[in-house]
Amino acid sequence: MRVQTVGGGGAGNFTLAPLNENDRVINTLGGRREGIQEEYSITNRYQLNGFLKYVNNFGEHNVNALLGFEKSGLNFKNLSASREDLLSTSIEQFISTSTDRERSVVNGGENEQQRLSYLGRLNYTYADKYVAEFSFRYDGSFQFSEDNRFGFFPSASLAWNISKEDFFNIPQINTLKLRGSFGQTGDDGTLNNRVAPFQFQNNFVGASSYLFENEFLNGIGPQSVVPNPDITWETHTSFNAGFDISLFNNKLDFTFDIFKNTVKDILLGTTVTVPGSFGASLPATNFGEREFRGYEIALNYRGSIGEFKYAVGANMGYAKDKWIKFPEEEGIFDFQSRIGRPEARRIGYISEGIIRDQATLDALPAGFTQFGRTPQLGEILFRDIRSTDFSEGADGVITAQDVDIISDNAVPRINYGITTDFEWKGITVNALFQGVGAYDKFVNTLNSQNGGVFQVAPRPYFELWTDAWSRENLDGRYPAVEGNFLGHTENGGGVSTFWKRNGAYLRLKNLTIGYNIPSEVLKSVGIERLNLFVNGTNLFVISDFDEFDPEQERLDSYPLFKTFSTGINLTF
Amino acid sequence: MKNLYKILILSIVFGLFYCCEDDLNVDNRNAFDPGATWDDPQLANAYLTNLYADVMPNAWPTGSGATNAGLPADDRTGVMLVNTITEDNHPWAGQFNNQYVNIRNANILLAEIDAGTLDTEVRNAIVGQTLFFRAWSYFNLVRVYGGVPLLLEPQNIDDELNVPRASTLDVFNAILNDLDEAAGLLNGQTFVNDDKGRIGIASILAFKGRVALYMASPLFNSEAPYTNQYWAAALIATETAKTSLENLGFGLAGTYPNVWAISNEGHNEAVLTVKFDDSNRSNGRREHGVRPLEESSNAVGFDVPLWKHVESYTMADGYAPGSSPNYTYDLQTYWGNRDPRFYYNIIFNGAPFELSGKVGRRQYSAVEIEDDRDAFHAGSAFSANRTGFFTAKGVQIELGPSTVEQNEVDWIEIRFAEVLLNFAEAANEMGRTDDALDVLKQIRQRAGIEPGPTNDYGLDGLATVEEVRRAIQDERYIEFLFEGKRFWDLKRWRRLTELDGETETGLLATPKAGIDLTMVGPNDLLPEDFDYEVRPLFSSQPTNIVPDNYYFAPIPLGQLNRNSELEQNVGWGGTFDPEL
Repeated sequence: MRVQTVGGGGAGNFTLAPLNENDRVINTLGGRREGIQEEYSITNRYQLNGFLKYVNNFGEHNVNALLGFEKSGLNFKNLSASREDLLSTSIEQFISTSTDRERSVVNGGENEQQRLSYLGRLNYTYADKYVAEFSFRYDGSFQFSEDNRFGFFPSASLAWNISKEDFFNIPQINTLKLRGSFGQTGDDGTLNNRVAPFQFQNNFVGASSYLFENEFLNGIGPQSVVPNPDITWETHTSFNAGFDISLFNNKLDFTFDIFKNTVKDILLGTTVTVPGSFGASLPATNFGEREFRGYEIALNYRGSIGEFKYAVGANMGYAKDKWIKFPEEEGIFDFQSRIGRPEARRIGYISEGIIRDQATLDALPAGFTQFGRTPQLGEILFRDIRSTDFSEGADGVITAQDVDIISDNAVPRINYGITTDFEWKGITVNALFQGVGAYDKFVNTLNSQNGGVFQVAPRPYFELWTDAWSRENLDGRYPAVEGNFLGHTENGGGVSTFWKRNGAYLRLKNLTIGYNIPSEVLKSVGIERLNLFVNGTNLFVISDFDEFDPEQERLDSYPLFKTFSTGINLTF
Repeated sequence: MKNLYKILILSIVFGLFYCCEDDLNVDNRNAFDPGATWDDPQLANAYLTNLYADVMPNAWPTGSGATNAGLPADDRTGVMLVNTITEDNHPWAGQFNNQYVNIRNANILLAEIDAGTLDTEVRNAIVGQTLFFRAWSYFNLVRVYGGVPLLLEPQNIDDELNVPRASTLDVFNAILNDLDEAAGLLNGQTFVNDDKGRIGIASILAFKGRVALYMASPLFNSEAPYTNQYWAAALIATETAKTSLENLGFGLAGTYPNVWAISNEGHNEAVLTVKFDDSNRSNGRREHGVRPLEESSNAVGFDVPLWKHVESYTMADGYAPGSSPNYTYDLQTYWGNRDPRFYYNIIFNGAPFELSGKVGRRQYSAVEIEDDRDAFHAGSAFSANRTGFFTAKGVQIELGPSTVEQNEVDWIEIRFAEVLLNFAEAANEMGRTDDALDVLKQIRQRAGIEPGPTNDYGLDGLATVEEVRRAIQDERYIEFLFEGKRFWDLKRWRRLTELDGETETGLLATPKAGIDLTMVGPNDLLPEDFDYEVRPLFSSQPTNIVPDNYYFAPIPLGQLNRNSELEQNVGWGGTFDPEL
């Protein structure tokens, strides 16, 4: 990898307030010089697998067994170097950098990971009617101390293919299969570096340096967090039950699954505080627990009418999570608690809409303020639900205490898709529709990612402000534009139900129309197959959410692109 | 047979991998093994290096952010507004945790080092310095809060963590024990050459003198401020420090400005030094905020002399302005014939101040001449004020405006002058007035004050213990201006409340009528070309509000909530007596 920074400048920090704005950059030496930085890293990985398989049939009894191990590891090394002061910014090579040692920085590091797993599987099938499987993994990770290094994760599943039974005699049903499973897996937190390694042991790490007479010496010291020798695997457990059914000569397939997954021993920071005299902080512990429940349905139908062939498929999944255990401080208020609630919640103010006329203002209680400011026409009015110390009941002012949970569905709970394939005399049409439901989408911006439109100085303004409330636009959809865009919540800058929308949508994700030129025509010119097609993506979307595309992350992020393509497939 | 071979091969293959569970014992290559640290002198010293960095002051005690700065009081601009110290927050609230982090880190070393295989000499030097740091950290706590939880071992998570406060006496005794033990281990160790900047015997003895003086001082003995039992011990500790350091060659280094001259660094007045250089650890002085902005960058307003500083300097003969038999004093000629230290510590309107190597440059504060960033300026906010004065202390005048943050003047945490004045204070209280006066004369002689016909340096009028006490206190004020001592001294003497109701003033200079500013060169005007007027520094004229309970800070509320055994101080709703 090669990273380059060319350029410099940047205002210095003013420790005390300047007398006037123009003083800010006076006599400031630029914080950065132009320079070159290069960085190299090498990762060596290995994986050794050994499996012992056993397969045998005893009449209608079918046994399939496996025993094995997996050993893997990696070694990562990196080296980076940078030098400042280019002779010429047009030559971006080290040759052009200063040889002054003070303008050079070299850095590097190394780390190692090791894992070892033993695993086994026993699969038993009887006459394709009954399937039973048991498997296990015994996983070891370098992340944990010797005593807590290995975790045992068993799985089991059963399936019964009823349609194979002799007593089963319903001609319309071709296949009927019942399934059930239980499974566990372990997570050592290495993925995404979610859990830092070596938390189980005491480490001295690089710390502050100090200058003695002529030497600037490096210091080492204990980590600020004491070790947690008990740190171990997070365990994911899943329960799943379902059935597959095929009807009408396998024209219609239907699959249904219901699941409940739990994650236990999630490593989370503690809220228990120790006396300051302890001189260190407490480590994260395997404390958290979270549950995911949901179901999945899939339906496929294939058929034909004369030369017209068609296939229609639909699938849908629903999932919702909740925290069972989460380290929370004592005495927090119910709405602040995660317990029993999904992670994707929004906490914010409840909007009563824009204050559109003087009558609304006059109806407010005397002395009513929002965040210490007297409400103005065109601002959002919030519901006064709490008084001091988060106690319930109005207190005549809107403060940071008047927040509540305003959504439990800040991510889509329902995801679905529909595929359709048609063919008639060489003409094919394939379409993919995709959509989500049970989703509260908040109009948001980079400055207010959980919801709210908050814009800082650089213009132009967001287009939606053209429909802001003003004395000329009394029906404006958005709050009045605040001259200096301070991001006040009542002017739209904060999370509130004002910006909450139904985020459900249905989108034509992909449409392909093709034509296969009949082979009789082609053979004569020596071509085996010729296919012409046009394709479009993101062709339309149906949604109540109209500030921007419902799949777009924020008001000020990149929009989704529509694409069109056309082509020819030619085979000789 | 065939099956036997199969089984054999399989056993070997699986056996190979079974043996590899040890591979999961991976070295942490981003950390140092605590066990190995105490076998390796370099790693053990690196651990000590971190203690130096965390415990020693990180800069001169100036401006905001310096770990050794006191409150705005005499030494710093700004007044103490109402609620400067509350249970919820005060300037040392965050340091409660920090000091205990340092104490824990010191305790870890002290508890574990003997498990290693270091040479006795190396081990003793490291332990001695570490004991000093533990003492230093507890001292930082006890002078703010009185007694605090006393932990001399690193705690484990299973230990009882709710530790009650030890009595103030117990904490002081623990500090003194650590220092005595450190002195034993570092006996004769002065650390020279590359080790300069380390804690040697001189630092330990000098600091012990400081601690003993605090212990005896009125702060901890309001019932018997000057008659308590601790003065005898203070005299022994301060006199031992003075005598031992003199034997080691410490003394007053040349002229007063020479103490901070780059060319003179490492001189024999620097007992405990925090080193700075121009690359790795620069600008401990925070010079960019000390200079006038015209010759600086990024900040202004640190260490600004106030009018009361100007007033506190004696005349050149050592007598207070107005009572000198040799020199008359008048506001309009206030700069004339003053204590020579005045001319280094205070740069006044029209004084030479050859910043950025500009020969002949003079500093002005008159709004008619100086840029309004640096001219006298009474503002509404504290940060926007200019008093009409600057200081040259620790300023490297040769640096240019853009290199000003490369200042490399060391911070001298303990100067031999302090060792002397500590001794003088104890000697005076213990009836050795002549010894005390002798110290004052040494200090004044070095300062360049005229000895006078009787070699009294203006101190001949002093008769009583109280008069000498006051003279020592006044001498500390002017000798140590901008050295972070004044707030702590006022607290120690229980004189902080004298500031109550006081506001701050600066000096407005106006060119005399008849001077045509268009006709004079940039550095032509002299101080006498101006009229002077003392003016309030803040347009709203706030005053200091210093209630009696400010002598000891309350244990921060956050800390009380975390430790059920912590008692709050008397004066803050609690029952703990922070005095001795």
